[in-house]
Amino acid sequence: MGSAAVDSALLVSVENVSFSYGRGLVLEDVTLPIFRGDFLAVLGPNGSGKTTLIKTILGVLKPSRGSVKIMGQPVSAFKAWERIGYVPQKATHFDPLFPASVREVVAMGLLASRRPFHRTTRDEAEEIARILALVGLDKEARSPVGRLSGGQQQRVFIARALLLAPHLLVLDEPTTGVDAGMEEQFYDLLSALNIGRGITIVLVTHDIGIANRHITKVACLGRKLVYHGTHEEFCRSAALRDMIAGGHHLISHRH
Amino acid sequence: MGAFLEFAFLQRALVAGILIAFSCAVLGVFLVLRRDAMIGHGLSHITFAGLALGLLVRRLPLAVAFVVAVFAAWLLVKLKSRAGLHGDTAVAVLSSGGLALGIVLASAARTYNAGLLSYLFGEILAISRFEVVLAAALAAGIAAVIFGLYHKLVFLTFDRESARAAGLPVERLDMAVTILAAVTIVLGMRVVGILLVSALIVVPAAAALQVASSFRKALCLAGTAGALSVVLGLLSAYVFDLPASGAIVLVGLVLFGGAAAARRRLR
Repeated sequence: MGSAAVDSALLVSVENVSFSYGRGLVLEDVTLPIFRGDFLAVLGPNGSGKTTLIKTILGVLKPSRGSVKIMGQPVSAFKAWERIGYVPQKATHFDPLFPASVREVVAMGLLASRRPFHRTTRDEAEEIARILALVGLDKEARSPVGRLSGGQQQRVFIARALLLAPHLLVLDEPTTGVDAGMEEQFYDLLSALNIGRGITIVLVTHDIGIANRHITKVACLGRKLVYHGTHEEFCRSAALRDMIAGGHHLISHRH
Repeated sequence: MGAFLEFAFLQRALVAGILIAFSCAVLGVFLVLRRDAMIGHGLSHITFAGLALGLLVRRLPLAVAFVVAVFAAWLLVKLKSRAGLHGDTAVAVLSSGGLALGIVLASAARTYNAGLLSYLFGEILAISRFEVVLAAALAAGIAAVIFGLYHKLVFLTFDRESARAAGLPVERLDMAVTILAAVTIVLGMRVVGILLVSALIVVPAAAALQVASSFRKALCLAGTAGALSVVLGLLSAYVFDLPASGAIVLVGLVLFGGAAAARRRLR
């Protein structure tokens, strides 16, 4: 494979990134390439810098040192944010009284990216209906979002991210508070998006547990990048053993 | 009711009060859902410092209060984003500072008199024709900003982190909402006074959110609840010889109670 082909396959490039909150260094000299089609799990204990890393990728935080490029552009100059879908850690922590239906929440990102006074077109309405069917929420389209279960709410946020046809979907601990049955369905959906639609997925998690069957690559953080490679290599690596010895249970049950 | 509307000062109070209460309530929906409900309380305390400064320098106290409130709104957004203070901490810091400064300045200006009390407790019946025009301009300005930025503001209100990641200018949108709140508070101060102006922002919005099924309906219901509070509050003040500011806020609280009861029934 030539270098041009490698470059076009490179979706996100994190190069020597360090970040500190005041004097506390949270990320140190992290270099992490993310390639198109990856289903990357970013693992690590609390405070290891997982959320900080994805916030630097999303341009929400500016690295103290190093650089981030998305699709070859420095993140500060990147404009096509509709190509990046994001499901935040606290996505389901909104006010339950928020007066919005599932359909309205799914349309939020799309409408906010349009010009003032934009009204949903017929094509957009059809696309919203299609995405809702994809995540299995077509029957709940008119339900108030605050009345759904945690698992259903997470699927609403994924639908919102998918509506803009992203190339990259970033999820920060998306199954927190979701029961095991829902979690399994949720990862099946992510896998279908990754394999069926070619969407690159970056999943931040404490516990690869159920996601283990679907991920293709692993980045293991402990302020520095401790490990980056394929999932198979990771299962045999010293990094995994070190983290388990440190009291962090990364359950691996590959089926 | 017919006799009530015969008085020009009551007509002015009604028109300006409805416009200002409507503006406060519509902004209140965004602030309450962002858990920034206390922002009105904080900005009203700072407005008190502005008024006292105006009284001290004997130059248009309302205009000085307006400048101070807008500056405080700007400072509040900066404190939250740059100094990393939580919203309620930033509001508490500015609010206590504003009130303390106001007390010192009012004392220096020797203005602990009826003039100052009218700002503390409101004087809707003394609203001038010019203030009616200001209220109309404020309501039109707020409608234009909210209509123009509607989708961005709703996204930001619902999920701040995702809005930021989607490339929305979060700090500029925050600044727009907070400055509008500051301007509204300065005018709202004439209706119900510094001590109660935050109620015009919070109570109708909280009532609307009890029963609204969509964001647009919440804005309409909040605006209606705010306007209704002024109409029924002024009417009851006229009929029962009550202080207008207190009556307006109490009517708002009754509407909130009714909405909360209706919500329980709808469940």
